[in-house]
Amino acid sequence: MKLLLAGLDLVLAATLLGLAWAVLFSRGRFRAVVLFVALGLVMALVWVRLAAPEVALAEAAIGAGITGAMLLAALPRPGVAKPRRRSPLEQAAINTAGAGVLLLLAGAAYLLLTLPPGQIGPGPATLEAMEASGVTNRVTAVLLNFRSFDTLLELAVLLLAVIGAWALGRWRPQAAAQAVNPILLTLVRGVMPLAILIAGYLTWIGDWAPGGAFQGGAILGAAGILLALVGRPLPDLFPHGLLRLVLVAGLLVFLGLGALPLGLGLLFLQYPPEQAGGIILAIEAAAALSIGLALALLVYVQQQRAPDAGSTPAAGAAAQAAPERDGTGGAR
Amino acid sequence: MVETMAILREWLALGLIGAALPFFLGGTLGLLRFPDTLTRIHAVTKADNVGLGLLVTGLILRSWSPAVSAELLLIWVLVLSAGATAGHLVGAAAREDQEPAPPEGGGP
Repeated sequence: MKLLLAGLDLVLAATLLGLAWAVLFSRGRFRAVVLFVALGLVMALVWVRLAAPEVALAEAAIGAGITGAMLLAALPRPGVAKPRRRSPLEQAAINTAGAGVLLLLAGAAYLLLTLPPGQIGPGPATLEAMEASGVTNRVTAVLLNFRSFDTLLELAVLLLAVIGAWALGRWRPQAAAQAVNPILLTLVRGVMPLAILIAGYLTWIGDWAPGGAFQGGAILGAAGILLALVGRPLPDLFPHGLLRLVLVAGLLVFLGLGALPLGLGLLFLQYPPEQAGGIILAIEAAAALSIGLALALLVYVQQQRAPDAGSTPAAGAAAQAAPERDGTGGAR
Repeated sequence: MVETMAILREWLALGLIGAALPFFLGGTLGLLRFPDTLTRIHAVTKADNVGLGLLVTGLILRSWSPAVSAELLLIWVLVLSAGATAGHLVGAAAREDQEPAPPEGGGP
């Protein structure tokens, strides 16, 4: 059994490296994007093998699913825009980033090999403090209590990414009565209530099992993307003021509840242990809504700029770079 | 008696999961080796659906808990409908791209 698992791990690791290589050096962007999605799915399996189901869920839903949809939407349609050459400055930036990543990896590998296992990072301290966290899932305890400042800033980064992306354009309502594939429409109709239910469930169980705001939010984001695929994107369904409110709700609730302890003479984000569970659930619920809407809007902005969505083919060429990836890739 | 049933169930589950694997393998081989888009989708959607059914049945027998079984059944329904719809969409797109489709272009 042990041998079998070791073999499985080796195959997974080799597949991951091979896919990563293929993503970087494949011909054609469409191919690269498809391979990137496959890379995300294999990566999710690797996280499962590393006993990190939370990260696996987030990787499959956000890393492979939503980021994949975002990249696909950002692809120029064939024959519309020719891939342009990279300027020397761009190439230098890419090389520097690559070298930096390698350096960080080498440092991490060195630490892993030299330090005794179990003493790296705040693991033991986390276990000791679990009583005061208000939840029983250690990952949620770290993300939303012990190091909630990180999560707060991640939400802020995601919000800034949406604002930045949408600052470049405005919403163009979809051309009415576009032909929608009836089978797809039926699927979306059936799946939509389930998606909302599953998103709520994933957010709710985050307190004691793998799940949480990012996983639930990713499902909501996927539901929003499905709605756009059948010609009913969220900005056409809801007042824009309401959408803006939902978009910032996660951050506002987080800031508001984080400031509550100040009134009790505690520190910012230092929840009293008796109320911590409820506070965390409230933050996660609001954050899941905001994350879902933010992810959907980040995909919409690419679709809106896609050459066949509007009347200006030239606009598509300008929308090739996808800086939004930073917003979601780092959000975990 | 109860113990015998449990052992029987375990072996049945293993058998079903083992029986699922050739279908996934076959579907993947078809996806890789078949000549055009329509036949490839046909292979991967059909074979994977059978494989998934066997796999889910085996896992339900193994877990033997109502809650987990309900979740597995939900996953089964969702993957089945999503797979069929995705196969249909890819098939429709391929048909649009191709010159007139073969007379018997049985979609998934």
